[in-house]
Amino acid sequence: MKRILSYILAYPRLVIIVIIMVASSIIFSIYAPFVLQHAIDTDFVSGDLDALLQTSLLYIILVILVWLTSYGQGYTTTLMGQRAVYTIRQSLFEHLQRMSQAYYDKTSSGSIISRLTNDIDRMSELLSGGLINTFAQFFIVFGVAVVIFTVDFQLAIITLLVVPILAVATHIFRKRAREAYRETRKTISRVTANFAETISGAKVTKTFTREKESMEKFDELNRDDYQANVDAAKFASVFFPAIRFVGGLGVVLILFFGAARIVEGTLTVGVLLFYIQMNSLFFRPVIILTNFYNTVQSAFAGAERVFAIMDSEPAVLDRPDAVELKDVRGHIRYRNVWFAYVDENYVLEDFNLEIQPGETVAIVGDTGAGKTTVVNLLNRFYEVQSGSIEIDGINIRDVTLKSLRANIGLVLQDSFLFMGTIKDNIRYGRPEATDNEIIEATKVIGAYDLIQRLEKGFDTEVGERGGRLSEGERQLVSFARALLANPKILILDEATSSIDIYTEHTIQRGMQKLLEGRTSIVIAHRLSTIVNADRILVLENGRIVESGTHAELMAKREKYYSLYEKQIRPRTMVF
Amino acid sequence: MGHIARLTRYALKHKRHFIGFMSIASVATLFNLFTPLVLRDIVDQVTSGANFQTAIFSIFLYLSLFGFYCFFDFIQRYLSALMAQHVIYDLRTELYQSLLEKDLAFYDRNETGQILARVTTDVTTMRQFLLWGYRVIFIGAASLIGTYYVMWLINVQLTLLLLPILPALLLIIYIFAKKVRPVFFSARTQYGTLSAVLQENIVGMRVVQSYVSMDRERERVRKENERYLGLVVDAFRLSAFYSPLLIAVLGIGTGVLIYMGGVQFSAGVLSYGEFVGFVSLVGMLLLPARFLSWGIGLYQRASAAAERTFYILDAREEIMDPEDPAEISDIRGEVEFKNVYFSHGGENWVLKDVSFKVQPGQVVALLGRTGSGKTSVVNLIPRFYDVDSRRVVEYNGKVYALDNKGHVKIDGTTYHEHDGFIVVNGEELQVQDPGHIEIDGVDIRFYKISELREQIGMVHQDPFLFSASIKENIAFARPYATDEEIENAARAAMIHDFIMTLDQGYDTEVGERGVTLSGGQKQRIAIARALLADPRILILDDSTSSVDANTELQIQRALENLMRGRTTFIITHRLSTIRNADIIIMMDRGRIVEMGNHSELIEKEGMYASLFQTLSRMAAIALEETGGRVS
Repeated sequence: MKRILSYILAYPRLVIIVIIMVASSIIFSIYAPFVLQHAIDTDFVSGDLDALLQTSLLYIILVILVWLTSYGQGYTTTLMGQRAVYTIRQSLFEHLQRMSQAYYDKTSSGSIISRLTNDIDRMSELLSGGLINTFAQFFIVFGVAVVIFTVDFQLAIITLLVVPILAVATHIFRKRAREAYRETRKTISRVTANFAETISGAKVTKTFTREKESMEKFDELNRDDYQANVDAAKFASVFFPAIRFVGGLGVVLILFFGAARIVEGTLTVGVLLFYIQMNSLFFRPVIILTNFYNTVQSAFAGAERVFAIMDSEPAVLDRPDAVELKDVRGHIRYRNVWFAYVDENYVLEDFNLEIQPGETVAIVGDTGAGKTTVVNLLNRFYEVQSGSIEIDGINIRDVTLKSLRANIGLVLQDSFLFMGTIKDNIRYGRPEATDNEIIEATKVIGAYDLIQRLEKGFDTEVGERGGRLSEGERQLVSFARALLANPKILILDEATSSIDIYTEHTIQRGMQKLLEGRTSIVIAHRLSTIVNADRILVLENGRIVESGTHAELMAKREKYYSLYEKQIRPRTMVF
Repeated sequence: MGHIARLTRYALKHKRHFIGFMSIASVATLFNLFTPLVLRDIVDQVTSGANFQTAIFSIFLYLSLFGFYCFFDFIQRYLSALMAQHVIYDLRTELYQSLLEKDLAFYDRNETGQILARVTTDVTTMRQFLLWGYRVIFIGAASLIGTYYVMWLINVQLTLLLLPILPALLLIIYIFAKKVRPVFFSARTQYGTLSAVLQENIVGMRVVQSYVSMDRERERVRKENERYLGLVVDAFRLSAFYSPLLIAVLGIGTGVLIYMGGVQFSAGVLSYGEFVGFVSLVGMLLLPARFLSWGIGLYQRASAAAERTFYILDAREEIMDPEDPAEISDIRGEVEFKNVYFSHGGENWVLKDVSFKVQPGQVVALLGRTGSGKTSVVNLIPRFYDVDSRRVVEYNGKVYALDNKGHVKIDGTTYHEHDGFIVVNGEELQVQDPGHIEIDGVDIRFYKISELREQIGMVHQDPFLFSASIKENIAFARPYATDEEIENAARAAMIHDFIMTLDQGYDTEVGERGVTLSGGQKQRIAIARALLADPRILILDDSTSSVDANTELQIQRALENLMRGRTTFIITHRLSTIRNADIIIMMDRGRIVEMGNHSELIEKEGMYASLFQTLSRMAAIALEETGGRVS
């Protein structure tokens, strides 16, 4: 709670304005009925028109003040709350940027996104409006309850009588309604899931002409949803009429006791009207207050999850005395590296490897052999547990993350692209690149013709995550992106299945160009890449079990030979 | 207007509920309107010195009027919920039906997420309108008028004096609809943009970190975040300004009422009761004003949502059944393409003048790079799309379609057809009649679509399996197949042994909630599915394979079992399959560039020959060290 509040308290001036606005708005709204009562009981009776004019003008001024202060209150609370929300979202995002790859591997992206959106929205409800509003309502109830006793004790008691009934009724209703609506959420999500499946599976349904059966299945779900909603509607429909009836009952009680007293002559009409008006002031606060618990609970749950992320330290950080990695030649050395993702399950045990500048090394091995781990350690997506990795003789832990990663290019299997044009994506690693440089890069890679053939060429929008391009096109764009960034060291996590043989033919050349003059580590799957590598490393359970060129290793007829038979050759799709 | 009117037609299908809730809402409003009159009587009775008994009677009248009002209010709410739910049920059924009937071109044009939103989120928005919209607008308007009428009954002069409140309220309602809500809407849209940027960053964090572009992304997020902050604050500021203005206007009205009421009271024209009644009536204007404003908001949103949803119902069906379908009970499986042209959206020509003939039982291998048109060829056979039905001319290798008057626009100039020719720069271009596809000598458009598709089986590289058991997935085309038939199909598809290793065997759930299968396993389940369906014509997409040798062998055997005795179109890079195919079709940019069997094409020394060389070279490297085993 304190921590949530601290985001608001960051704006002390606003907080003070909000408090003043809230307080004055409450005072003005409670004062107005008094003026009305005064008009009826004093000015009406005396017939003093000047005094009456003053009273009614006072009433109008009060009304306008209520308006202005509510405006001020609404504006400042939103400003305060939304600024807090802005800050929370921004700092959560910036924190997430510093988290290491280990975090992203063990946390689903869906849940992280949900922290950034849904959970912060929940807090937003409390921060902008919810909190202030609730306190305001609380003060109104409290204020009204006190004020009404100053006029007439008996009627005050009667007026207050309805408040607990109102509160209890609302509370009970909420509980039942929540249960009813939980059911409707279940049924609607089933309907949605069925719609989603139908849309994605349209082709299969058509191929096997199963339209009728699909329709029947959908109808069942649709019917369930109908029933659940009708059931829920019963509760929902009864709530407001019931609440209003309780309020009406209050008015009737005031009328009943009040009327008798007027006949007796112990009560004026003005006071009667005053209490009738006061009765209606209780509604909103009670309804809002009974919901306060839910708002707070939901906001706290959101806050807890958000703060949990903010409090987790990034696993990989710059050392305080980190230096810039400059003028890289590209010599890489792994010295006695130990690494485990969890506890003591070492993926790499005492791993040693030296790569000369400009050398292309292909790593092959079964899934889980540690291929990806080897490269993930190099750009410090993860931190080694013991031993060290050196580039040009400098321990990579002693240089800044920024300069390290700027010197290492990464081309990924799933070739992630960003929303924007092809051009934007190619210059992602070097925003200042000219159009000519971009075109040059695609020519080298062999993607130029392909891009030119697209309707808008280099200005084609790639869509969310590059979805509007084919896999092969995405791969080529990511090659060009890496080439343009021109890093001294290149890591290539090879795409196995995304390139067809025609593109493969085109790419072979481009890939050679990309690797030229760089130290390259390739997690290799394709025969052509492997054959062209200077050295092939066979990884097994985190150890290099064989090393050499394709011809050497094939001649040995051992590990590489069997791996080749089992995996690599089939992938060439030549039988 | 049009969209809501259309929605209302759906509502009027449930006349009993619709008329029921409207009339009960009217009754409830009436009861509510008369309570101030009773209030007036009560106050007048007690102030004029009449006995308390009369007042008690009036108080009970007040209570029962109010009680009835609440009761009828409950009934009308419930009825309108029933009505809304009925309409939503109908609408969803219709939407679902229409989704099933859509051709694939529809699914190509519209993104999955978009379609889904239109049939879910947008429908929910319409539901809100059905639930609240009609009655709040109706009750709002009726109460505003009714309240003034009751005022008129009490005191004409005061009523006239308070009349300006009405236009003031309407003005605020108008401003809300025109000025305030659009800002809320843009804030919502901006939130969508912000979420998209955040999402992209989280999913692509590896790329962001490895290109060291954190600062740039942070700025991007900050920009969107700031824009969102600005819009949200703007929206709430406007709403905080105009929303309490409604109350203020009524308050000012009350202020005027105090003075003029006092003047009339002193003159003896107005009683206490009448004054109290008036104060209460002015207060009663607030609810209908809010109702109207809210109703208009619902209307705006529902109208936009309805437009999006009805788009799905209205998207024109391009592929339709013939009126008098041809008999298809026993086809042989002869397939012929005759001068087929095909375009996406009428302009992107994907297939140009494609003609070939396949005898029953022959195997056709389709070759060509991505975008060459080979996938379109196979998609046309089951009529996922239809052949372009316009007449066309070709000029400089480009295709131009004629409109039905025989006009065609080439490079900005319009030309006219004469006797089947068009003359461009002195060059005579022959106009091509629309092409078509025949199965067993009959244009496929003469068959009933469902019967045609029953004759065609498709197996994809990465097939779509439904969230259901393996058994249900295999028996997808024939839900009443016996367990034995299903098992036989699975055996022939080389997947039976694997299924038996699963805990629940054939009853194992697959898909989102079930077990995850590898590509090779899914492919073989799809083969079993096709085997059980037993089609005459087969379409196989086997272009990208990355499975180990053992699986590869199993898939190949499964495919051989499947292809036996069926006309087969296969998209593949498998050398042996290509070599053994009866017809090899080599495609490039929408055209057939070479066609024939392996030895014919090798002799030609064209594109196929050079591709085959590349493949063979790779095969040579692959086989060199392994003793030259050739399968």
